Amino acid sequence: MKLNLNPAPHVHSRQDTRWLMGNVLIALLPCCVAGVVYFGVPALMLMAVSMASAVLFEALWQKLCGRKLLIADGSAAVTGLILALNLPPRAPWWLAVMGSAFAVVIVKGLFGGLGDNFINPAMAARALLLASWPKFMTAWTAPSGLDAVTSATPLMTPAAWTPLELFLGRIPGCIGETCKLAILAGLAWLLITRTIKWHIPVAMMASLCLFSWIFGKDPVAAALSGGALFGAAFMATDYVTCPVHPAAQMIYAAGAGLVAAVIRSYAGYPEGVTYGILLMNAAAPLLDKCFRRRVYGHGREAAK
Amino acid sequence: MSNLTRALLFLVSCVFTQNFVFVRLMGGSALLKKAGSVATAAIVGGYTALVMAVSAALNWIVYKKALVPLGAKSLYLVAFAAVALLSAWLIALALKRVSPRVGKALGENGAALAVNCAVLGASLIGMGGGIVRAALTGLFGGLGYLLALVLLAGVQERLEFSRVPESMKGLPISLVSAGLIALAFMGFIGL
Amino acid sequence: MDGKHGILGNNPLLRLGLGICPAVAVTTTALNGLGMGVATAGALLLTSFVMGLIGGALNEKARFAVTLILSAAFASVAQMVLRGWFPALNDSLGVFVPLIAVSSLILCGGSEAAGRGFGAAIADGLVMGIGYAVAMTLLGAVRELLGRGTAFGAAVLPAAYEPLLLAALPAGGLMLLGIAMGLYNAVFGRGRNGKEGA
Repeated sequence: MKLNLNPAPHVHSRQDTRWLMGNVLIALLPCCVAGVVYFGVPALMLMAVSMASAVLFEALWQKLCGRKLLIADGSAAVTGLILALNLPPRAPWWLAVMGSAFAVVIVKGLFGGLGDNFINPAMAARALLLASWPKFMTAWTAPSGLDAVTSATPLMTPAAWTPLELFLGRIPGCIGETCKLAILAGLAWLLITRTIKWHIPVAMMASLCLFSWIFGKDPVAAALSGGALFGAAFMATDYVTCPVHPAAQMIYAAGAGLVAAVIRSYAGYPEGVTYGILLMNAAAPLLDKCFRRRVYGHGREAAK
Repeated sequence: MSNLTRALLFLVSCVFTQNFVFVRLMGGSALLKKAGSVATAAIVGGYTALVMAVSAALNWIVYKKALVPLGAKSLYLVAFAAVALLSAWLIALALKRVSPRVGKALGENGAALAVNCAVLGASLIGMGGGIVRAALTGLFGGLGYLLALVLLAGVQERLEFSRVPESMKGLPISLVSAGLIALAFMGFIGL
Repeated sequence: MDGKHGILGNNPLLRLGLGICPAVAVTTTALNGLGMGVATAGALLLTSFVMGLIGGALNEKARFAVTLILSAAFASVAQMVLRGWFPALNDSLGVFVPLIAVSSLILCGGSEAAGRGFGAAIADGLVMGIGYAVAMTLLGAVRELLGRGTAFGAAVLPAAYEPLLLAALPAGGLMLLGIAMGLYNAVFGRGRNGKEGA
């Protein structure tokens, strides 16, 4: 299926959206499996509710605007799934519905739809949910049992877990972000299929580790806790909201890592990855502008 | 803590944690101005920052050294507005002398556009401490205003290629964009 | 100016974007929106009144300066009234009461009043002021309902409602005003809001 996307500078003309979204969905699969294994059926339900409501809102919005229905391109499903993977495992179902509605209608739809939003929809939705319903967004459960036992995440008590535990992900946290092994598997798939290039994930993780170390924290633990790796692999790399030129991408990713490290170390919220990515999304048009003259007409070929 | 560290922390606070546009909401004018390009936005933002700094310092002097001793505190708003307009006008004249390009970006009534919430707000907020703090509140707050203006101009340039629904075009989508950036700035709460 | 301001059509806030700083900052409750809207409308009306009297004698640059000074003077009056009679409201509006002095609603409205007939200046000021106050109250009511589940302080939503806290925060205010303007344009049609405020 060939999509009729407008010539926004960020949408790749030759790759069709369905192929792209299919690849992302495949890459997210290990995280979904790990999430269900660790957090049980409720996690699966959240994913289903979130994806279904995102697709539904996308369809409703496109109908309301009198546009062609394009939900089969899979982009709304990907947004819904990424949002669910960013939720605590015992989050109430309506949280996923509200987040999906915000992501699809306000962050994306009001700006014109896929390719026109300047901020990552799932990330913005997570920030909305965290600001609006903090008690549900910070109710962490230990992965062992099915009953909701409130517990601290590794970001709050970094010494309680070994690097191996952090890596395998049997720790409290959002559904998709705990198992670093699964995320790396997904990232490998994205890199092998050339869906994304290495610049953004590598620069973001390097910057996060470096600045965490400067701020007096253990860089390995910093990389393996919270949503850093998940954000670097799946959210900072969003084609629509990241810059085009590789150098601009590196600055963008390094900035996201820096902001995340600063917020983790000094600000009120325990996790800063969301805000790091959102802020650099907002700065991405400026970064692109700095490099545009040199890459005009090359960016798309290079990204292929 | 040395003065330099304190000043740096104050800078971060004014630009990020207490951004005039995204947190204090005293920069609605930043949304209204159809800046046109990022370059124009940078010039207008820099000019506004200068006006904020100068008028905050002058207003501090006017308030503490003239109005309070004279027992004319209730005239403060009229005095502040007059001082702000005067400094905006003088700074615009000076900038036009220095660079014609800046003068063109500011337009005919640049001075009139500069008397806004951010400028008067900086004067009011700066009243709490000494004169240095007042001037820095204006300057650093102005840098935050400049950052916001440039970010918004970048996003607006991008939106020119977007299929924004007809009724959302212009100011409405600018406000939603600013709201989304404000959401991102919430990460700095507690910094 | 063509005197086409209205309460519903061409609303000064929802169509022209005049006075948007306080419209986002203080409209966290319906009462705040109403108080701010009325205070601003009062200052606008008085400014228009004086400008309608003397504005004809001034050139354009002087008009702006005089409007600004008048606006600052009437904002001071508004602050005294609020402080004396509505101290609680005055506290919750905070620094945005003195900022009425630079409200683009008054600066535009006052400058426009100059040179028009005296009656037209008053009528226009009145219509713009009421339109602004109505829009402010509505925006405040929506944000209060979403963000706290109350209307003018009274609980109206079931206790099970989990408030959308963001609606009462700056980010939510900016987005909701933008969406409100978009809805307004969709309902009342639009002639492009190409007007610049200060």
